[in-house]
Amino acid sequence: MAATFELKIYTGTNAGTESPSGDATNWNLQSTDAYDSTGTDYQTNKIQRPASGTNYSYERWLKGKFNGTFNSITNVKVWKSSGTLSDGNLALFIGETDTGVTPVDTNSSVATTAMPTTEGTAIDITPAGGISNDGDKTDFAVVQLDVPDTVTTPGDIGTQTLTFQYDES
Amino acid sequence: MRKIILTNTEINYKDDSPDINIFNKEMLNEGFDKIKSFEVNSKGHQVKVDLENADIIVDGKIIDLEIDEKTKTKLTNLKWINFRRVKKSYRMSGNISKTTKYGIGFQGLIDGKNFKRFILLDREKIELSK
Repeated sequence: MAATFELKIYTGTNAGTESPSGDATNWNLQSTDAYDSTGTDYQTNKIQRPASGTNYSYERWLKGKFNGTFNSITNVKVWKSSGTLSDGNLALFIGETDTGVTPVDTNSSVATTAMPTTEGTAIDITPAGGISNDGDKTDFAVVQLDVPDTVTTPGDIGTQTLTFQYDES
Repeated sequence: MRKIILTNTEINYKDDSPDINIFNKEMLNEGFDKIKSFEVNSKGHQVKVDLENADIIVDGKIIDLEIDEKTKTKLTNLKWINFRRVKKSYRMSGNISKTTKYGIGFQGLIDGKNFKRFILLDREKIELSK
């Protein structure tokens, strides 16, 4: 059988709590450190525009988990493949790390790279130890939304799509 | 030269059919890792991977690999590669989509650095990648 890929969300101390039990259905960014298990929680956990300065979403800590029988997974990449932010002053950032840190809603020290929007500029989250066994995971990809006081468009930021790509042999 | 016919049964781009595992097992059982060239028929295209000349040939035409002949002669440790390239996309709306392409080609070393060329097969077209 081929490998299966599941998206996992990590919250809590040292990003040590994994959700959900299967494949995550979303990576919604919120003002609380929790997985949006209903897909609508984000509507009540909004990131408000500040009167001055910048507000930040809680960092979204993500990993890919591989299940099944396979020889090797290599070249794991992630990037935003579609979606336009509803306001030009909003910004998404991403970063990669192999070490879990408790998510913050202040300016991230991990998600510091402007979100790539092409495969060629994607973040590589292949772990140094490789992926070759049932249950192996990628490194963390950490995503954060910046909401500065210059934002003028109310409401959702628009539907964004995060794509994970890997080679299985 | 070994010829492989990839049928719709063996290559299914929409699900997790065990195409690549079947392919690898069959080829390795036949000593495929020692074969210097092979040809794959897929979706009406004939793809030949020629390790001796470091060429990939699609429908009789050599693909431009962006390396000159002199550089080609420096290639060492050539071996064939084949893999499944999967893209899984997660929309904030909750919609998840997945596409799979089949990669085939070769890799080796030039001056100690890894060198890889392959093509990606899908329903519509053949892409050169590196």
